[in-house]
Amino acid sequence: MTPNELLLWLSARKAGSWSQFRGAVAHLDLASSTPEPEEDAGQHLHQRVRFNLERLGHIEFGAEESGEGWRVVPPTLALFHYDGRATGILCGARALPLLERIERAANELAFERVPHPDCPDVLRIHAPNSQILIDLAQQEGISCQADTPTVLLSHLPSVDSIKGWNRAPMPVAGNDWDVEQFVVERKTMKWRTITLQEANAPGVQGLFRITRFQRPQYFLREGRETIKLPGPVAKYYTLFRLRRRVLKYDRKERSLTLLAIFRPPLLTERGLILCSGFPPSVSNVRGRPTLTYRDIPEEVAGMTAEVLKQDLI
Amino acid sequence: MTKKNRMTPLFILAAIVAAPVVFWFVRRRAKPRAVKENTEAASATTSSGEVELETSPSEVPRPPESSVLVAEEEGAPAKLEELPSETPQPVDAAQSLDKPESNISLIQGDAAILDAAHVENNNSSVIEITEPSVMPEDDRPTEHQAAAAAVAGAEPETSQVYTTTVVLFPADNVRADETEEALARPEVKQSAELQAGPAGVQSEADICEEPDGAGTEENGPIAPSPQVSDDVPFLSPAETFAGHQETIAHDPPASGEPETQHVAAYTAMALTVSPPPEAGFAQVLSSEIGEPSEGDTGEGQHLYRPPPQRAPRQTPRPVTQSLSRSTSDLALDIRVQVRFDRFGFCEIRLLPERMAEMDNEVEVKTGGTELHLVAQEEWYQDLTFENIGDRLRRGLELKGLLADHRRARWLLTGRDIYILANQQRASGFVSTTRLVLGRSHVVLCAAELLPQVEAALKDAGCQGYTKLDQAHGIPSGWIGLRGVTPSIAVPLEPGIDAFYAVKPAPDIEIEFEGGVCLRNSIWLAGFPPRIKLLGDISAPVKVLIDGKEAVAAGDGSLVGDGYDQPGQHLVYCEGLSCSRSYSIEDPPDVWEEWPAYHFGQAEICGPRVHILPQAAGWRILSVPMSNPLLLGAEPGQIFRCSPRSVKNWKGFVPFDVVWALPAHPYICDKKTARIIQFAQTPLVLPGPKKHVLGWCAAILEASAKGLQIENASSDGTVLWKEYKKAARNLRRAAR
Repeated sequence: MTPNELLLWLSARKAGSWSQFRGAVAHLDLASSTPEPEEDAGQHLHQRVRFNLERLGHIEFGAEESGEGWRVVPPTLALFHYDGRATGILCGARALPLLERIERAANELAFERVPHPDCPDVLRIHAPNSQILIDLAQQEGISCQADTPTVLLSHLPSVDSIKGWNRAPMPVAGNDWDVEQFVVERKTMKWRTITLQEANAPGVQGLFRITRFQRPQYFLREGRETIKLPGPVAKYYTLFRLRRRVLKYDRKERSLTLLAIFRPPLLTERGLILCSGFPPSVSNVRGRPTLTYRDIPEEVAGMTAEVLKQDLI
Repeated sequence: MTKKNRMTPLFILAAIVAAPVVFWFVRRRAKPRAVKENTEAASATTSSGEVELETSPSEVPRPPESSVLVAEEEGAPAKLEELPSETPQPVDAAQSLDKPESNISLIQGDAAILDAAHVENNNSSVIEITEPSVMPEDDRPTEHQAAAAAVAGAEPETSQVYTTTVVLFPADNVRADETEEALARPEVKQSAELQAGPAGVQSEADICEEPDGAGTEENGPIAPSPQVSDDVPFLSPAETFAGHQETIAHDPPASGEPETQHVAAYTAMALTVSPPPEAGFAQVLSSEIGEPSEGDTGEGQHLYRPPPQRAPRQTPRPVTQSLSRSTSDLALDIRVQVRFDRFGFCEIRLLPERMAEMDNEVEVKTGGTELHLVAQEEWYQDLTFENIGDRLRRGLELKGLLADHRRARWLLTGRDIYILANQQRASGFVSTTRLVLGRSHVVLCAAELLPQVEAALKDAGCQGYTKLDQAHGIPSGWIGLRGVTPSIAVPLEPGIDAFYAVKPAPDIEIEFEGGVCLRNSIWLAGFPPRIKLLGDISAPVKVLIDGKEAVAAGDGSLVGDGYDQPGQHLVYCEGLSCSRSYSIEDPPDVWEEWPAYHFGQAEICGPRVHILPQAAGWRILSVPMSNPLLLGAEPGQIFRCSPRSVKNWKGFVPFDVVWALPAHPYICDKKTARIIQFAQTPLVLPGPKKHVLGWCAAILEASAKGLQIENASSDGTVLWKEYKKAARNLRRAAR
């Protein structure tokens, strides 16, 4: 089974449990898999595929409506407009007849199918303006989202809105925990291994990552509170408090570059990816894995920076 | 003549007279002793023979702590020699343990303890039962016991029969009180500790011996190494059950043992313990799980282990107990999986099996190591081990407790040859029983067996396969053979064929490969399975799909009219009892919209953002960062763009913007700063608005500064004047 077939399988099943997803991923053909950046190193294939499907807006995992499992997103044409040209990216559920219909309907437009490792082919349709694509989506009975990156990013809370996250104590005992503290010293930002006792010591502040069975949990100790929150949000909140900038925007190349350990939160990243339809490319800059998002308009870069409480470099 | 001198001849005379009597007496004593010695020797022989029978693949399991061999080797005859003649003596359990020469020590382990307790409670003689009595025809001992009795001669030792009885029917709960009482004694503990050990391990091995002469498990032959049969992990559920059947087959008759009360009672006790025959094999496993031993490390489970210094079990683990246990405990397999990457490098992993109702996550233990299993649909997460080569040889056992309190045990039986093939339920190659004609396999075999395996493969017509070694990811001591596709059926050797796995049978099978399988036998339309015929198809086989003759496609699969159309399909071979069915299902064409995330006034699902009605008036605007102060047509409609280090600000604004002003109109640079007009919307007459002063101040400040409108038109200038006038009036009114 290829990632394309996996998405067809998921679309036919519509929703399911995490175990069903893992079982389906186990059938994936690994021939095209590529190494992942350091932050994703050691991730199993099912994790890489899961994140790619999520980032590209095909499947939602662990959402309120889908319980602990996954649920397929209805087929949607995600539009973005730049330099007088509109592009639609096909996200969500796929079925062979649907794909055939869309391809036929886009016969007079530029239809693009680009394979990408560990995720389904990226399907894009280019048109002179957005209205053509909106009409096409309507004709084929699929949803359409105009100006997707902007709309998406505009509705995301910024990372400093941590009031909504759960207050939860850190584990105080246990042998299987790997405990690390996020340390920012001069130009160095890294995870430093500490003990559970040190993390729980009174007065200790900062971000802690506690991993058990390859599942990290992030706890932010600030003041008298300990908050459990997603890792990327916690990292960017810490950077915001320390006034560290990590987003580098190249206006000429229209690319946004950041270190792999600072991969943005899921929906923020989805907004960036839907500017092109492609997951970020991975490169090594001075020995450090770096992610580059392409075709990012400056406004979108600005919105991203605002959500992440960053200033662009 | 003194008195002394007078007595001397009398003594001599008396000695002469007494000599024959003494000689007769001594001889009379020596005779039974010799008989006893002979009997004991015969007993040992007989018992050994029984043990052999018990440890043979088709034989009876023994309880873990019944160390018959040890008991006999440690000089039971010598102990008997020191018994006080024929006179039966009541034996106290503690006493018997204090004195190793006592007859009780003939039987060791838990059985001995039980025996001691039993004797103590009954206060009856063991040794007085030295002769068999005539028993009813139906109650005669089993064949083995009869043979033992024959070897023992005219005096089959009770202890011998007793041992056999204990082996077959170790006491269970019926004697639990007695057992525990005996265990409570320190002497007994010591005894148990001393007696546990190799024999105990071996007794477990007995449990997991192969039930029949096939010598195979699901995935090939049992490794010939003696270690292979040394521990529980070699026991597959089926084998256990089969072994149990053997146990039943060798059970002694209900009252068929010696006429003595003691043995009869013991037999009766054993029969009382015997559970109903319908109990399943899983129960045997549950007993093992239920009593995890401290010394169980999970490493080298199949190897000999010295006697662990540990407390004795509170309850024995008799084999017969298995039959009375709950059937809810689970015994599952661990399969071997081999996956190749694009460079041909392989990775070997272990796949614990999963049943539909099992937990998604289970914490399991293998020895001292704790693992966390995360479920896939039909498997748990594949496990990788650094010493996978050892695992393959020695097996792996995982034990865990499910959320519903059922115990689960996963087992990989160690062996020297593994056959792996593609499987619908998992990717890569997964271990299977044996080679199948026409199917491509991967064979993993111990390096030392390679010549024999290759010879067998040659017989099976396998050609062109590639050898894989450590450079390809195969563990040390193993060789991999990839692309093994047999074409000739190979008959098995009589009896146990160690190379069963590499000798394909001629059976014809219908196989479905590839496609997109939605679940069970249902495939997605557009992605039907490839239908293949495996086995000996040298003779023409007519395959029909839905009653129409199938034809071979280019890739060797079989296709027929409409075989890939939605609906149910049946594939069968004409004249053979070989058929399979599958169905094709259309994909859905409607997917409902649903909210995955809620953020303020929007719901997000994939790329779709559904803005709630209360935020429906918001619209996207892009404005230069130089003019972040946005004003609407209605006084009070003011919006300040968030600061961004970009040229243009883009985002949602809650009204139709008419004017965009500099952030601080009054202190901006007049030469460069401008007012930007976005719309020609006329001023809306002020209603009862409260917060209009900000809107007024922005307009009046920009006006006071004398800022010009960047895209000014004649109408724009007029409009701006109207806005200015309204702002002035509103501010005045507000004062």
